Amino acid sequence: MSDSYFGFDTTMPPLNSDQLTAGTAEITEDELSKNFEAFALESGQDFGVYGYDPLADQLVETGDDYNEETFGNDITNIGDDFDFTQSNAKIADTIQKEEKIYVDRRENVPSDNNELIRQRPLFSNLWDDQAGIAVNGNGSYPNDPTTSPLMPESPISPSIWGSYHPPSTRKGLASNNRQEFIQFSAMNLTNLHHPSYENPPNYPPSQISPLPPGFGPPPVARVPTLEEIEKQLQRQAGQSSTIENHQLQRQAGPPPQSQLPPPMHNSPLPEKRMLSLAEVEAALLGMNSRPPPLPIYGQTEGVYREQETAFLEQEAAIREQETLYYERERKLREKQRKLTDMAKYNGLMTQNDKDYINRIQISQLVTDDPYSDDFYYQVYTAIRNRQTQSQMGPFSPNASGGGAGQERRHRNRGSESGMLKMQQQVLRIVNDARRKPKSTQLSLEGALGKIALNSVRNPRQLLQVSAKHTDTLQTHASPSGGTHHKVPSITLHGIVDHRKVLRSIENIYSAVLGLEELRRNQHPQSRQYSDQEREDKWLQEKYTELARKMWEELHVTDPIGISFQHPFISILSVSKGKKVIPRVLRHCNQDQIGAMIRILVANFETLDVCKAAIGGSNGNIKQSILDEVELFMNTVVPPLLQFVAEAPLKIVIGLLTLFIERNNIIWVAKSKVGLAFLTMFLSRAEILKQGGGAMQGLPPPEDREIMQWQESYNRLFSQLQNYFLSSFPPFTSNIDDMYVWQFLAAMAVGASMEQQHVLVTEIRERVLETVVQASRMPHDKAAHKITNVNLFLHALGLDASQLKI
Amino acid sequence: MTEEAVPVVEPNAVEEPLDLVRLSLDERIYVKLRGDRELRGKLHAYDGHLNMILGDVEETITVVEINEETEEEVIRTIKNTAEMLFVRGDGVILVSPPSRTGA
Repeated sequence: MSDSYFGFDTTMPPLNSDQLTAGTAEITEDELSKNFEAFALESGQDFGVYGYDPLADQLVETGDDYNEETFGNDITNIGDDFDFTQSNAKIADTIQKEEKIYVDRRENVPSDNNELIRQRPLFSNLWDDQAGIAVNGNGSYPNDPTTSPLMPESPISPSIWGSYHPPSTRKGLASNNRQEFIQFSAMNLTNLHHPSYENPPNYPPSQISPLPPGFGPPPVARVPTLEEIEKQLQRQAGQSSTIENHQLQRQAGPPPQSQLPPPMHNSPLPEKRMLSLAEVEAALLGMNSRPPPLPIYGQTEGVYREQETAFLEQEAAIREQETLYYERERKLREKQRKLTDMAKYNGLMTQNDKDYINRIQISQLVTDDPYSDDFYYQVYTAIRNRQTQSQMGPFSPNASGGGAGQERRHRNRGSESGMLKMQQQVLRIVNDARRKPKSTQLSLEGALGKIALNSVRNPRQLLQVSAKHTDTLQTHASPSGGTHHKVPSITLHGIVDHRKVLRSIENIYSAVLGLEELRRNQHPQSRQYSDQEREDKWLQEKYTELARKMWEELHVTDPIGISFQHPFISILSVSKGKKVIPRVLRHCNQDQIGAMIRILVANFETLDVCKAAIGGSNGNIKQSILDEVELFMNTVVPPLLQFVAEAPLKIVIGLLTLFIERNNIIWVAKSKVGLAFLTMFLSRAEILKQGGGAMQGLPPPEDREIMQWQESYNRLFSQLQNYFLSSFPPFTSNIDDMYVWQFLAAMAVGASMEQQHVLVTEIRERVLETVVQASRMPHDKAAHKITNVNLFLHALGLDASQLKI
Repeated sequence: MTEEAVPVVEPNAVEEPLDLVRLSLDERIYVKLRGDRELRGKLHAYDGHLNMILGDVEETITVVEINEETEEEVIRTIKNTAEMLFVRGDGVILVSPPSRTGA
């Protein structure tokens, strides 16, 4: 007895095999109780403890009159909710193998046939029973007579079995007190449920009926019990068949026997109540298309095997469920534990506190100046062409301009959510912040010195490098309305201080950046302040101020001739000075651009891209200079070209005349930039002469203007005559001479017949050389050369293909 | 440095040391760093810590090796180039603007 698995006394009175194998029908209630009484005497176990009472005696064994009433008579309503065998077919193979192993092991044990037969049903029926409970206990209790909609009129109340399954016991089960459960079920079921086997109508609720909700231990909690039982059974099966063994088996075995679902065997109707197990079994058996084994003890081995298979299948399914369940349970417990750990902090903060902290955090994110605080994001969104306003949402200071109306609306339904409330408060914070600029210092009464206020936007400064600098910028800007004399002159006694040029360029950049920022704020997101007009005026003033400052720093209006190099030309001689020009011109009016281009033309010779870019006889130009020329052509020329392309003839004449007068044309015409300017003027004049100015709404040039133009042109031509060839870069250099051909074409278009003749005579050699050269070149290069030549020839009404070499 | 020799005629051309660096923006400068390193590159940006962004940088590292046999010092230079470089300011010893021919 000491080897009992569960640690309780498992001795039972020996059953003779006749009794066991004779079938349940032959075992009467009396016999059974007698047996148990005898056993109880023998083993000292008091079976009364387990709740045997004579209730069962009153049961009418064969009276299944109320079956329909009890279990519901609508068998078509049986769903497949409890068809747990559906998936069993999938594992049928494994189970069969397992069973074979089991059987083999069994057969290797020397035991008499009778016992073998006897043990089998015990085993399988054990599963029958336990699985039945397990399934029944599976959560939903659909078979509970009190809850099942199918049996609303069921006269059987759950209290019927209350005496058999006292809540305390159930609770014990729920707390995984398996020993108690096994003991309980083994004894209880053996004694009590056996009768029910024959008297289903009265009894079933107590036996198979689902556990009352809340009482039912989770199925998985019981499954290990089954396994344990199985293990024990197997162990027992492996032992030699002694009486003791018999007893053990008796102890473990019989309960399931009696536990056999009554409806399946006794009732002709498939009982609703039995769905859990009976259906499972029926389905299994149905699959094998064999009649259900009615008398359990009379079964052949094959049927037992089938049953065993079925239960093994069930077992596997249940085990699967079990692991899942355990996992879930574990996680839940973990979570619960954490929650309880944290629970002591619950309620420390009120909702107000939380909102307050949220507000602080959000207000730190809100910026009044998204362009400087979040520049890359702003530019990115601008590039992506998105509606920044809608994207930045209600927290954006720019979108927050809904004004008082919006705020009031928020207030009305402010209580709806904390979020709305918060939004509205953030709006207020932002508006406040906008009204009064953030103070960075705080003086307390009686305190010496000041307390620096730091924030996300204004971190504590470790170095004060920029402070003085901004001061100087301020002093530069502050005397508004002052003349440009306030701006330091770049030159002293006619000598240009290069550092001052650089300084001016930096100041130009600062101003340009400021202007660009103002423009950005003006345009993409039209700010809507309550005091919009004032704001606009302020912006306008600021813009004008910056533009004026920028203009002064450009030194365009400085008188010519005071210094060796005009300050503006000095600025243009630095590469960053060239680069800033397109950005500067965006903030200049037409007059300013005109002034700029006049200064440029008047001092053209002194431009670095002109004077340094003129090669000597060998045509060698430093790469750095070529880079500068390239930069100039790409940055300074295009906006000026645009200006010239819209200018009336009068201005073009003025510029050309200035150009010729102030510069050594032969010299300048050797530079690429010089030729570019000349080409620019010539082609514009030609377009205007031919009435192209109408497109810009300009009146056709007056005769007097055309006369003037012709005069200027003739002057230019006569100066350049005999020097046209010198404009070309030497053949040896790899410079693309297209710009020269362009210039010549522009000259040719405006030339008279005689002038054209002069031109052709002069250039003829070069044309022929180029064509010859092209014939020796790879195709694409040759084509380019020919195209260049054709630029000029077409202007004369010729083509390179007409040339005979 | 020719720059230092030129008298500051007007007080507001260069008012503080960093102004000199500011004027060198977009120019090629020379930077001497700790660890016998030198950089030559175009100054794109800088800050008060002399952190700098340089473009088209040529880095020269001077390594002094002692020949174990003869115990002679062998000076070797390693040159690297980088398209763009961030120079952390704490390593900067000297920043030199490009020398001017015109001024």
